[in-house]
Amino acid sequence: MHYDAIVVGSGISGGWAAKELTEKGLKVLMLERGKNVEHIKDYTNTNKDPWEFAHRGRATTAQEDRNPVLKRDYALNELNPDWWVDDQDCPYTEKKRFDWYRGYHVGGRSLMWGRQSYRWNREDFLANEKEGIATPWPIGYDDMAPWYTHVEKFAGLSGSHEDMDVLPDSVYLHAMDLNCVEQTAADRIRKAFDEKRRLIIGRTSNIAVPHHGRTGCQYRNKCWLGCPYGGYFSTQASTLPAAMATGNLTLRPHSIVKELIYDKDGKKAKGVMVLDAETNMTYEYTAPIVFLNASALNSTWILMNSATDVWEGGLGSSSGELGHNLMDHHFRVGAFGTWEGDQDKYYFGGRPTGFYIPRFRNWGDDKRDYLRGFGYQGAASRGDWRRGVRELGIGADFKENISKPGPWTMGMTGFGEVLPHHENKIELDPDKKDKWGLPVLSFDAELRENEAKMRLDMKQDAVDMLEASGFTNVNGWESDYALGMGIHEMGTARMGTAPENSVLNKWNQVWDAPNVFITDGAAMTSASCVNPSLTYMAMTARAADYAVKELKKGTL
Amino acid sequence: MVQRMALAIGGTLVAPTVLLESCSFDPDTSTAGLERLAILDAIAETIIPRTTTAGARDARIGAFIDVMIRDCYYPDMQEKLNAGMQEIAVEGKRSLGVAFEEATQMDREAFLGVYDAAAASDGSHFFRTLKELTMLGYFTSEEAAADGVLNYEPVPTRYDSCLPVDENTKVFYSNI
Repeated sequence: MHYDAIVVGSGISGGWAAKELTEKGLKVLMLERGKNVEHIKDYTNTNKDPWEFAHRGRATTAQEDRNPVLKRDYALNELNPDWWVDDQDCPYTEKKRFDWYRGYHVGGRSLMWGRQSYRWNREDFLANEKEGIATPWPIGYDDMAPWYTHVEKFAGLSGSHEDMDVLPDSVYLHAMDLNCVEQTAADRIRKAFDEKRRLIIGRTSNIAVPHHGRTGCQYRNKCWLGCPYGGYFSTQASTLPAAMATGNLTLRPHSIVKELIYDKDGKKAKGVMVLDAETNMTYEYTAPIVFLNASALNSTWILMNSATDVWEGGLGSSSGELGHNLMDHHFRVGAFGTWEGDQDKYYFGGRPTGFYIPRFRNWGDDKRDYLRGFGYQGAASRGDWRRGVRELGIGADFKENISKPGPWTMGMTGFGEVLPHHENKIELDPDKKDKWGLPVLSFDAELRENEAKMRLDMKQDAVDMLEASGFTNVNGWESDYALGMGIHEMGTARMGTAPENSVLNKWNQVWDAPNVFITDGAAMTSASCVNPSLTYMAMTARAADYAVKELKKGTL
Repeated sequence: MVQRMALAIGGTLVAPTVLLESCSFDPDTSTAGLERLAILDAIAETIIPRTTTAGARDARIGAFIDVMIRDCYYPDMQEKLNAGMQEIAVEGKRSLGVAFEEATQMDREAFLGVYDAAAASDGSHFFRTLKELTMLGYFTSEEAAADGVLNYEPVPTRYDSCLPVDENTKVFYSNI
């Protein structure tokens, strides 16, 4: 079968590729390796009450035994287990520990994502070059700004306008409110740190107003079960219906792309080879343009399995960078404290975002003994019945007391930039195979000195801000973090200025096959410290626009 | 029964969600004998008794705990919890003169208070886990929601960032 374009993957970036390409008139085939998930209809648990879950959301030992990776964090649970990839069906190899939480179904992780949405700043694109780290970005903020605007208008974001260089404003439909304690902390932090540290409402792809046919957020805070109100951006709520409305989209679930079909003489991809995940039959699909949006590490996996008769390491390996420079955001370090005041205040509703404190380290005239920086996410809240578990008390008075709002606490965790290191890498494991007999990835990456130094600040700065705001019982904390836990996999097929230093050029084209575009996390040349998905959206729309123009010119 | 609301916000009819008829969790008690359920219910009821609102026994928390122990804990922890229950049954009868589950709420509270004190200072104590499971099951139960023990609102429709509290204000929750 022949199409005008093939999009591999249906998550955040794949959905955007499908929307942009179909709206520009191309007949597009979108391939998804997992099953279909229909908007609303297939959100099977989203309207259930807590008591309808036999284990109240907790994972069973049977689930834990089957999923040694997923059980490392919240991904293993009773509420949306079908949306996390089964460790037995899809194993991988850990030379060093790497936590890989995947979503193989239509919509991918756009259904379960954290939704925090931030623009990169100007320095984020310049830092590699200024500091001599890895390789320079081939694009800058000005290349991206119009495309940020483009995707923000359609995706729908909530957030406040702050006019900060470190965190450029997006287009917002509205802002959600800080609660009383967060607002007080915001005022005090701003004053105590001379305007250099700011606490603002988290910028999120949740919207509480009607937008492009979506009803909007009802403050249930059950986003990761799928939202029947279209309260947050997902493929199902946003890009897929838009692409479908053009009449130009064909969606094929259960389609594992094994490799790109490479035309040695034309030096481009002819199409893709698909393994049907249900029937194990193989199919070929052809198109003049292929977008790889299979998620960062799976887009790279496809390249590694393609054109191996030309390059042993696969398509894009001629640079020596394919599979290298694996990144994530490191976190799970911060502080929490108790708030003695506002005992007569409370809130109502499940706000689907917390607060955000933008980066302030190595910014302006601040200079540390490490590179880059971090931001914080957090929230203030009042205790619920859980506080009673460790408190002394049983009986009627105890029952009455813990039914009332408990003390206010506020906590925050830093999200720090991970530097790109050539030595942090993935490769194919020649020995291990998945359920379909396909080779699996092997991980060999770790946090290094720069991140370790940064983590000291991530804890202490949080303590300092809470204490400066008047919190008591302030405790810094740090818990188990391994690369991958941020679920922000980036790098392994980076963009760059020349075929010698990168896999992709400034339009996200594979240097060795210019009709192949990669616009998911694989393309990232560095990581910034802000959540990455909004940047993938913008990058995808930008590349799709370029691809269609070049196709029309006949250069692809 | 908690009412789900059909809502109109800002002139836009809220999406026709699949309003599943909620059915109360029906615990699978096939593995638990009546005696086991009785002692579990009695422990849970001692922690969260019936007052003007439902108690743990009304919410069948004994059966809930049994399912949790069976499905969510490994054998070493299962043995520890089972041994703890056994101890409460045996020592309770010896101390109270009647079967633990037949003793008065006041007597059971006095007896379990010692365990509660031990668990408050030792997170690995078996009673900490029984107390946690009791509270998890009870405060997320249909009975507690129906009686307004907490302010359960599955579709809040709004976020109020700063509301005054009075003596009747209950913990708000919309999900687990």
